[in-house]
Formats: sequence, C-alpha cells, structure tokens
Amino acid sequence: MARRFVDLSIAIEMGVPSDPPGMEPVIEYTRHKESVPALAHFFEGLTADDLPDGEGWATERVKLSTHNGTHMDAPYHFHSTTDHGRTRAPAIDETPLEQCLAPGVKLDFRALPDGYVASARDVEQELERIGHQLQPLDIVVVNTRAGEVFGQPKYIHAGCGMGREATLYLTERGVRVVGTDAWSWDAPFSHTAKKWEASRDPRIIWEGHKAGREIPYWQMEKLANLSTLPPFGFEIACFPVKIKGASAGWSRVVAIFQD
Amino acid sequence: MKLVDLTRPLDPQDIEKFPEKLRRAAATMVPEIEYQRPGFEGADAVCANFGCTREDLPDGEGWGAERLHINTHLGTHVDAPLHYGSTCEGKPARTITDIGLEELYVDGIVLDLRGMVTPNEGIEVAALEKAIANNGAPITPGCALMLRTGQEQYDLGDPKYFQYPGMTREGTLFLADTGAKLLCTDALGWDRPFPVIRRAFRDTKDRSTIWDGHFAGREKEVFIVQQIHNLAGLPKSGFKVGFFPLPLARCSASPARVVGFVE
Repeated sequence: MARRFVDLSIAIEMGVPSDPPGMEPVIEYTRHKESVPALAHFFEGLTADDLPDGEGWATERVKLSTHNGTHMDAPYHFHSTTDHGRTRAPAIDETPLEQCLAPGVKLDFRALPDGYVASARDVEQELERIGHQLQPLDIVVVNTRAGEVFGQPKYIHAGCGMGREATLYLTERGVRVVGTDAWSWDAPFSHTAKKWEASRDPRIIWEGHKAGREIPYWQMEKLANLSTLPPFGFEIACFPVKIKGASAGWSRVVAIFQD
Repeated sequence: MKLVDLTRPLDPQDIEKFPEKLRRAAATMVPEIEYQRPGFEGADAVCANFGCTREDLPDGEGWGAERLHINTHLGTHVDAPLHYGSTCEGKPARTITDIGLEELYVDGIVLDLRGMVTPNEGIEVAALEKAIANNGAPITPGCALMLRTGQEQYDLGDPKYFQYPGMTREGTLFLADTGAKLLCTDALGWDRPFPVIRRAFRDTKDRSTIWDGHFAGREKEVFIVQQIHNLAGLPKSGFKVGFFPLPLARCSASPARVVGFVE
C-alpha cells in the first residue's frame, strides 16, 4: 500500500506577511564562505585553503515566537488552568503524542465571511453535509477563506473564527486537536476589536481560545493546503517541537493518505 | 501502533547544567527563551491587542507565549545537505525545505555500538559492520540508521556527554554506501568532538581531519540527525521513523519532533 503525504505547514520565512507587522520571524543566514572565521575559531590556524572548495558550514540563527509559522497551541496558551479551573493547564511538552496522529476531518468554511464567528450549529450542519460521524480524538481542521489569501497583508484579517460554542461542540465530543488555516482559531483580532468597541462585552474576547479553560484542547494555526484535502479519509500527523513549559510548539503538520 | 518519542526536550534551564567553559557551545543544545505568562506579561499583551483592561479578562489572565532565539542546529534536528557545502554530489546542495516528506518517513534500524566504541575517538568501520551484522535486518534504500553509542547514560551536566565517539569520513561514507539516507546518532554531534579535531589539526596540520564526518556528505547525499533520544525505547528494526522537520525556508537544518512508529 502506497503512502502519500500532503504538507499542511507553511514555510517559516521572512518577507511573507504571515503575522502582524513586528511579529514576523527573523532568520540570519550564515553561508559557507562566511563561516570560515567561525571554523578558524574552533580549529586554530585554519584558513579557507584548508577547507573543501574554501567552504565552511551553512548555519542560521532564528528569532521567532512559538506562535510564528504553523504551530500547535497547548492549553497553557489559553489560560493557566483548564478543566473548569480544576487542573493546571498542560504546556506543549506535556502533549500526549497519541492524540497527534489520528484521522483528520475537514470542515469547509470558506464561504463564511471574514470575521464571522462560527457557531455549534455551523459545525453540526457541516458534519451533516460531509456525512461524517465525529469520533473522539478526530483531528478537526477548519478551511477558512484565509487559506487562499495566505502571503498577502490581508491574511491576518481574513477568514471566519471558531467561537466558544463551536469549540466546545468539538471538545465535548472528545476532540482534542483542532486546526485552522487562518492566523488564529478565533476570528481575526481586527474584527473582534470593532465588535468590542461597540459592545464592550468581554465574553467575545478570544472566546474560542478561552473555551480551553473548560475542556483542554490543542489547536493548530496557519495550516496550509487544506483546500486540497477531502472531508475525511486520511490521517494527520502533527507532533509539536518539544519546548519545555511553552505555550506552543511549531509543527510540521502532514496529512497521510493510504492509497 | 505505539509511538516512541525520540526527541530531546528543549529547556532553557539546561544552561545551568553546563560546565562554565562549555557554555559557548550551548547554542545547539539549549534555546534562549523569553516567556510571557498568562497572568503577567501575557495579560498586558492581550490588553494591548484588544484595547481592554485586565478586569475584562477571565481571572485577569491573557495568554501564555514565548519568543525564542535559536540556532537551526538545536536539539534533535535534521541536517540538510546545504550544511556541509554549497554543492553535494557536484550539484547545488538541497536545503531543509527542498527535502520531500516521503524521504523523511522511513524504515528505522538501530545499530547497537555499545562496547564497540571509544569516547573521543572515531567509530571504526569494523564496528559498524559488526553492528549491522548483529542487527540482521536488511538495509532498505533511504532508510534511517540510528547509532546507539551508549551516550544515553550521560546527562548534559556530565563532562562525558561531550566526550562522545564520533563518525569520520570513512565511517560516514561506509554508511552512506549502504543506501541509507538518514544517519542518526544519540551523541551530541556526528563528528568526533571539536576539541579532538582541534588537537589533531594543530598537531598534524592535516586538513582531512577537519569536520570530516559532515564534509563526507558533500560526496554522497545524506541527512545527518544528531541528539536522537531514547533509542532504548525502540526495537532493533521493523519500525518506521518520522523525522518531519520545521519548514525553515532555505535553511541548513531544523529542529524536528522525531517519532518512532512501532506496529
């Protein structure tokens, strides 16, 4: 049986507006000719002539947030506690690996407008439409309108968000890992900020994330290529980088098809 | 199926375990992390984003978040051929984002070298041959050979952690010629420790001693993986390994959450 992989991660890259201005990753590239002094530091008396083609090594230093690129949020990102305040929220290094390899389910929310907050009913109707009976530990990914504008400045303002109700609809049924191709699981901040200005209702602030206070869940943001996936019939592998006590870890998220 | 975590955790507090004189070399083992906690810096960040106050937040808490400054060769990581040179097998060397996912989900074979290697010295081809024979599994094209050198018994704070047995050009090309693509070690580094190479070069001025294990990857394309953790948790063969590294654009390496898939 042949295995086919679909990459669901965006590249971590400079010059692509994948995060709000000032929050982008920075990569300092050192190329082979530039590293000769670094090698000479380790190996006394070494010159470029001692190296094959006069080349040292290529390396990089990267400055980034745990929330740059495609990453998985742990419950600790949302709040210091979970399970209705009963337990300390787990950090990303405490993520059970077993929940990071499971059948994938895609919800097609591309028709929902930017800034719209999806409800439990929206989720239920989409599951009915695709004909999938949700199973505990299914990895549910949401294809929003943001996916098709990735790489453009409007990306961070695009796509619908998942509200508290929609999030709980999934987690109450045993789902533990979810994802979106938008910048955030919640509606874009620019839309929520306008609603907040008008209503001053604190319940709308980061409501999908804060649903993790009630039931712990793990959430992937800035996924790619979701439009190429069928509604189900594949597995998702999404093992996060193991950073001690961190609120999130980058992940190379992969859809696996057994053709 | 059982999942076996083969990844070393990244913990900024590990710097405390380092002998003072080795801290300079810590960039490939320890990340620099600035933590934002939900009840403190993270609350200020959320208030700034939404124009609200802490009173508007549940329990006055915002988010947990972090900023990191890391070397791409941090912790358990996959080297791309670009790390060893601008060319590989005479062609432009591939970067980490040029490597296909299907090349990174492969058969795994553990080569148990314990008792056959010497700290601070090159691993002999004879030892590699013996470990392959002892394992008995066929080496499939593109598979991962995972060297269990015995370094697992030492923690970061132990000077012996830094005195690992390393791979020379000869050993690396021997493994590459078996058809394996991912060459992995449980040691801190693939080559012999830098101070060992440093002394050899100082005494002999023989340039072929310099970083010869990695430089061998210029001749035959391989992906070197260092700081593989928990090889004791795997059977000796008959499993798959997923190495999916972070897609750091055009980089020479990137950290990965390496997982063994045991049926």
